[in-house]
Amino acid sequence: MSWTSFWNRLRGRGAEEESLAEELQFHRSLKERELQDAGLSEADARRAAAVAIGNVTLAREDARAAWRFAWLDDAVRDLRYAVRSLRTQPGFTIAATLALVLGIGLNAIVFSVYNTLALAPWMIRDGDRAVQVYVEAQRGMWSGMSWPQYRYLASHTQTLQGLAGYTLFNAQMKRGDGKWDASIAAVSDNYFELLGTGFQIGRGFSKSADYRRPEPEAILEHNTWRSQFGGDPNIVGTWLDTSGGQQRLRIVGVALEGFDGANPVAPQMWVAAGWRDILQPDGKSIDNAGMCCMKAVGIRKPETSMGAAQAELQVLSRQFNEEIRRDPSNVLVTSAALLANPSIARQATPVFLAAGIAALLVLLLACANVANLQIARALGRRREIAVRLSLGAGQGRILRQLFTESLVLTSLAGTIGILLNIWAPKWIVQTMAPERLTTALRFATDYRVAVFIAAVTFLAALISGLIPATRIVREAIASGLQEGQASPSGMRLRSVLLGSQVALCAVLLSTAMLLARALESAKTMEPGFAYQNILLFAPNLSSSGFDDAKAVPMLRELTTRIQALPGVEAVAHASSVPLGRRSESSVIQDPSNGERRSAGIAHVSANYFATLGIPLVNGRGFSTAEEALDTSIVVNDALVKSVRPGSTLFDRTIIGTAATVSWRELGSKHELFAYMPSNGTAVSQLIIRHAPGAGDAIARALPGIAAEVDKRIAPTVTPYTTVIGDARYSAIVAAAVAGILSSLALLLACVGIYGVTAYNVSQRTREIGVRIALGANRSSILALVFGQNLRTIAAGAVIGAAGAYAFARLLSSLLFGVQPGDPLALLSAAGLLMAAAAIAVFAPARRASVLDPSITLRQE
Amino acid sequence: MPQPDLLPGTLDLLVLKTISRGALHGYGIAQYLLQISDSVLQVGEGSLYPALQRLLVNGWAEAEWRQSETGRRARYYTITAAGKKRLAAEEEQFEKMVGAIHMVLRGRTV
Repeated sequence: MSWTSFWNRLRGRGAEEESLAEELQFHRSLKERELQDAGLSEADARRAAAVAIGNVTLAREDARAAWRFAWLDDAVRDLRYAVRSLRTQPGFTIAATLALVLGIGLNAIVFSVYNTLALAPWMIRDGDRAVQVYVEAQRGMWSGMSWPQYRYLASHTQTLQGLAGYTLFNAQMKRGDGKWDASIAAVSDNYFELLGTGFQIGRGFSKSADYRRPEPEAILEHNTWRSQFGGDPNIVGTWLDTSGGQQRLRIVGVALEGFDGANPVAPQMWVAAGWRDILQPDGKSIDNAGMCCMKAVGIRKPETSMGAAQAELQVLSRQFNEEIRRDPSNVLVTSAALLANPSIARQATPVFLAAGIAALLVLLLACANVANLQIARALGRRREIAVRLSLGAGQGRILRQLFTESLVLTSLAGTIGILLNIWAPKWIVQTMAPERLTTALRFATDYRVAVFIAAVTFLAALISGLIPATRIVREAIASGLQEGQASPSGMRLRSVLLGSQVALCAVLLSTAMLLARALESAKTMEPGFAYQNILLFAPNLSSSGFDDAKAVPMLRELTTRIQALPGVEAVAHASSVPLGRRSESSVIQDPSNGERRSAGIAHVSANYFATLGIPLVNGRGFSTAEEALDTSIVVNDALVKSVRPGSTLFDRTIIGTAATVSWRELGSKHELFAYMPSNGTAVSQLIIRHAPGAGDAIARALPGIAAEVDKRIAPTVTPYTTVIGDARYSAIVAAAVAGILSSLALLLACVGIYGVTAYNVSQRTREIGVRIALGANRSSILALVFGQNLRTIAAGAVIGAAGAYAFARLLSSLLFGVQPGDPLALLSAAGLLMAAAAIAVFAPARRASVLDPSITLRQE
Repeated sequence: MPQPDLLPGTLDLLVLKTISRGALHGYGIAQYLLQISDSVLQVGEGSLYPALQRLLVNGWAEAEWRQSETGRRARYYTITAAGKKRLAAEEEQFEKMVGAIHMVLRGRTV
């Protein structure tokens, strides 16, 4: 093809169309004259000319085909046509777009969160070959490993390019006049070499000869450098002090922007591994071979597979355990994503599955609605389509034109979906997830998300556009130019659409009702002890650099002073508290079946049970004298079933049984727990029971008391009601989101039901007119329309309720003890849906009943 | 009506030849072909206008709106320089083809 013809084609398209029409008109008139001259009458001549010229439309379509960009031509024309027709019906366009945005946006958001947690590789060097290495601490629980084990694997591995280790902790640092609770990763000294993407300024760590005496060096995270240090370009070389002033760290570098390390959430600062034990002397040395948790992350050599790495590390781990004479434990090598950890995946997968199914249901619902609206709308265009078809336009052409319209609609929705997706997931996680997860979790709208949204958009266009378009064209061919007769198959299709829509809605609505019931139960759920009128006072001694030995007298001093405050009734201390942030656990073996299970542990003062109001159901609690000894232990109700009566646990005599309280999860009644007596640890908090109303005054007095005891203490004070509130928060937010979702589902259902019913009624206008003319009264018409639609709706609701039951089982962890088959929730959902459906049917039914037969019959 | 017997591509050649004698509108071209061929070549609009479009697209013809003899606006087609070149090439090609066909036909009758 030459350039001239190419240019001519581009230039000529629009004008050519009109020229051609006029030209053919001119041709026809000359032909008519010629025939008249030959003696025909004017009318005959016209007819003869028309016959002679033949099918003008066909001639035009053929002539147009000469411009060989016909397909492009058609596409542009279809596009323009689609935009015009959508603009002339803004009501339809807005309703349809909203429905599709809801469907597409929801799917995009769910996928985006999943993508970030499960698919997107970390922003580290060679992130696509990054692997995580886990050790099985107990059956099905995969965790990190001790520092010695990490060192053994790192120095012996051949399949990995390198293996880095890290562990996260917090420490109180001084910044200007204030204090800063820094989240810190203590890392092996090959960490930045192996994973780092480079430094904004400065350099990496220097090698320490002895990891227990690390160089005093710190590397700042990029955002932290900017927010905490104002992006100071001269930061390198300055010193950071711990709040206690015992330790100093020199800042040697700032990581490049976007480098989170091997975490979905970046720490604020990196230090060498040995600093973990120095900055947080809580007795849990990383050097202890039985201790977890150095997390290990490696980079696979390009030529080795995951399987090879797994096999090698399994062997190395067995060798290591033999050397230190420990029971062998399994090793697992996974890809580098948060959800690759099977323990986390086990909890998260059902949630994602449920969210994904819900989002898909909403999408299908939205598409079904738009499809219904399209069919109803096409009623007015059926004649036009039938004319075009009979004049020789191809079915494919018409299908393409109708489909283009849907594509425009869904693309609009998809674009809005992408925009939503840029900020919505972050907002949702920030609202729903615990605070520590949200600060730096990045939601990149990467190519996976873009491809996913495009695919969903196209799917939506197919469902909401192609199916009705095929239907419309087929109906137009079948009925030709006949007017107003609904084809029975069309009626059936719409009934199926209506029914499935109602079923989908029933699923969403029932689930929402279940979650609403769960919310109700979460609101009233009690942790099993009296948490009102309690203040938690955390002196954070460990993160200020005090060890257990220093902590004991300080805690005693604090307790004495606080007890002297007016309104204070009792002060106890504990290394961790129910539903608090900190938890500690150990593995116990069930003597009956040998199964290893995780049990929570707390080191508590003798008056702990009395102060929190946890009843002792058997035996006795600790005496004050026992606090300093490690001979006794108290277990909870749940744990006592796993030990022999009168036996020992951790080499201590079981002296009593306490009632089970919720520890990690509100409402849980099955958490195993053991209490050990203690006269205080560096991580202990004080539990202050006070008279009602005295809490605020005491809370105000506490920082002063802390400063009197030691200026280096950086305490935090929290009312226990806040802790419990936080524990309920996730349930409340989940239920609220479900509530919004289901209201939207209900709204969609109503629009859909209304659309279908209105269409059915308009199709039967003539029939209803005849019935009225023949003497049917209003109420019988009302009953006719109602009866027919409500049967379909009821069938859909029943199917949907069954689906909801299956769906709710996936969500059982979010239901706070409400049963998936909860009759109140399921019945109320069905009732609500039926009521909404009745309202949606009522308007068209009423319209049908007041039809004037003399008008409807003349219309045809 | 389209002529099923016309050799493919020949219509374009005939139209090109017709307008090479002077500007003509579509109806005029059809009339000319009818007269000059003793009413053998009845070119239908269904094939004439697509042919004219092809000539325009390839830049072998130009179209212009003018007042017709009846006083109505009509679209006149004229041949371009490129069209003339093309016509010459096509004519030569056609002569060759016709000669070849002749030879075959004569060979068979002998």
